[in-house]
This record gives sequence, C-alpha cells and structure tokens, in this order.
Amino acid sequence: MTGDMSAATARLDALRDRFLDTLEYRLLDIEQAASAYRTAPNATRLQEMSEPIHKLAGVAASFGYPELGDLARSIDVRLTTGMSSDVTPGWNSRTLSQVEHLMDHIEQVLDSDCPIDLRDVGLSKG
Amino acid sequence: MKILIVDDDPIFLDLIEQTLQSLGYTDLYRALSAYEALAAARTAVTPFDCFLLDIQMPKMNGIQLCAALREDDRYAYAPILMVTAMTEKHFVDEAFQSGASDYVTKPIETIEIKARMGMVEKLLSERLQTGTLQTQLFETEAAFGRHVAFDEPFILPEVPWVLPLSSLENYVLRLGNMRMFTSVAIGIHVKNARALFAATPDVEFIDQMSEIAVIISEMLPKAPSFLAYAGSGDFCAVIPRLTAIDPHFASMTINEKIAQVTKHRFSKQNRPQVRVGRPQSNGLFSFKDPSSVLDRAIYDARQLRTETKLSARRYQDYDW
Repeated sequence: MTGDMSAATARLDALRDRFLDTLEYRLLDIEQAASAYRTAPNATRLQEMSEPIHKLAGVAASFGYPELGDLARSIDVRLTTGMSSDVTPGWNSRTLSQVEHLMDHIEQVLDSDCPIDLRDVGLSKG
Repeated sequence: MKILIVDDDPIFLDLIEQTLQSLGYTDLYRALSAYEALAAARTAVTPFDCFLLDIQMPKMNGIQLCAALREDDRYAYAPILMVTAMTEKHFVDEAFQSGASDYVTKPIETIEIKARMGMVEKLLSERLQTGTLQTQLFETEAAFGRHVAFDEPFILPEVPWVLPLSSLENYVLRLGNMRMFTSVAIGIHVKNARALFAATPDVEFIDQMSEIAVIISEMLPKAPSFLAYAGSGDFCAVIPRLTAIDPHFASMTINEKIAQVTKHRFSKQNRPQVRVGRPQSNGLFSFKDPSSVLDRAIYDARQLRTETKLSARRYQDYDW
C-alpha cells in the first residue's frame, strides 16, 4: 500500500513538473494574446486572451498553486463577463492590468520553481 | 467501468487519468475535443459507461457535447459528470438542462472525485435495474413480467428532459443554499397514484406519469426550471423564485388539462388528480442540507405535517 502510494505520489510529482514546463508556454500564450488585445481590442481577441487563462484557472490549483489558480479564475470570470456585454476603455485597461499581474505571478512561480543550481548562478527559466 | 474523459488541456487529462487510476479505475479513454469525443462515443463497439466533460472547449463546448450524447440511445441514461472551472449558476443550469448527472468544479481533489465516482457507480447499478431496462419495458413486459415498484423514482423514458431525481438532487447540492435562494422547490403529488398503480399494468403507470410530467412542464415557467419524478406519484420542480406559482391555481390548471387529455380513458372518479404544494426554500445562510428542500416540497404537496428528512423511497411509509 505504501509502495502504491509512493508510486502515485511520484507520478503526481512528474505531472507537476510537466505542468511547470508548460507554464512557460502558457505565459507566452497569455502575453501574445494580451498584446494583441491591447493593440486592437475586439471580441475575437478577448476570446483568444481568455482561452489560455481559462485553462490555467482549471489546472493551477490542482497542481499545488491555489493562488495562481484563484487569480486566473477571477480574471477568467471577468473576461467571460466582458464577452457577453459591451466593454469600456476603462474596463479594458483594468482587465489588462490584472492580466499583467497574472503574468507577474506566473513568472514568480517559474522563478521559485527553478532548479536550485540555476538559481545559485543567478539564472532563471525564461 | 469504461470512462471517456474529455478536456482540451492534455495536462489536465493526465491529471484526472492519474487520479482515477489511483482510485482503481483503469478502463480510461481520452479525447481532446468534443468532436473527437462524439466520434469515439458513436463508434465504440462497447459503449462507454460514464463521461467526464470539460465545459469550455473550442468549437463545440461540453454542454453541447452532453446534449449530443443524450440524443444517442446508448447514452440516454449514462452518468455524465461535468468537470469544469466554470462556477457561474448559468453554466450549472445549462449543464443540468442538457442532461448532466453531476457537476464538479476544478481544481479537482481526489477525495471529491472518489465521492462522485461512488455516486456514479450507484447510479449505474440503479440504471441497470430501472433506466436502461425501462426502454425495453414496453416490448418485454408481457413476456418477462417486469415490475416497477410504486415508490421507485423511475426515469420517464418518453420525456427525456425530466431529470432523474438523483440529478435534481445533485443540481441543488451544487448550487448550495446561497445560490438556491433565487429558486424554490415545488412538490406535485398525484393524490390517487396508489390506486392508479394498483389498477393498471406497470407500463401504463409509467405512461400515465409521463403524461402528467408533460402537463406539469407546460405549466412551469420557461428555463431555468427543472422537473424530476420522485416515485410514489410525486414530482418535484425547481423554478426561479420570482416566477413562483400559486399552488391552488396550478393544481386546478393541471387537473383541468389532465381531465381533457384523459377523458376517454378514465371516469371522473378514476382520473389522475394532482395537488401542488407551496413553494419551499432554505434560508440564505441555512446550514440545512440544500437537497432537504426537495423533501419538504414533496411533503407539502402531500400535506404531511412531519418534516423529518427522508429519502424519496420512504415517502410511501406515510399513509396519506
């Protein structure tokens, strides 16, 4: 039983590592979509920005990052609301600022989960 | 149990697959889109027993997929769990209206998945006895003499939009007392159900309850309203609070309609007669089990005084 549990834990750890590997790409996706939306805010670009954030909201907490999950979730809810109503420039600006905050948080997670040897030499992922 | 998991995020599929495997479920299949899932479901030689669906997916979302699966006879009664990050009430409403059996919000926790899968197993064993066999009932009852129990909350095969009682309970539980505050539960009791049951073959009793379900639903406000059959001639509806109906007027309307529809089949004394209960709700900050509101609605329709929490199956213990 203990062996089964440790095997299961090891598999979950491996999944968590994979999640961290994908986090970098998720960050890039959000960054690109946010940049596109900033340049020309429209419904299609809002939808494109919401997709990677929605996915992140679904998985981050399950992999041990509840704060990141909550933050992504609150932005996801905001974007869903924005998609079903007319948005103002003020709304756009506040939303993009929250998305920036989310990206900062992702970077913090990536930095803190860097292998120790990289951090020792002052390097970080990404 | 053969399970199909559908999510457009591969790492979430890995996670849930891992979680299910750790709980002993090994016959797992995965799809990255609703279209892929639909193709897999339709072409499967051995049908899937259960589905876990994400909601937000590109092109066809999980709610549309759920509705499409329900149109397939093989999956009309299969447990479908929505596993999603969408927590807003309208998503929960839409999911149950499209035929979802339960609704789990991300992030997932092993203990919660374990509890929900336990419910799925229970549902499957009940459906084997009632739901799936029910579709064959009309042809085979004479040959095999199959019976339904009077208190059985059987699925009404001719009215697929009437939720199984277990799904209605799950719906109310997922909303919780806070979000259920915008809704009320109403019980509808067929007063002479026991006499109808005794006087007719089982298949006809199911048919009568289906007919009454159609008439009740015509009286209910439009979406989001939900109706379930609870056994023993009891129905339970959940409707928006603001559209709450007057019980006396509703009873009269339903009974008049039943009289019209069944006038050639029943004498005035024998035709089904319903009583609609008063709208019931739990308090906003109530600590009561949210699903207890369904019990109270049925009690009220039966004009019972006792408010002890009982399962639907035990309503018949009361001599009304």
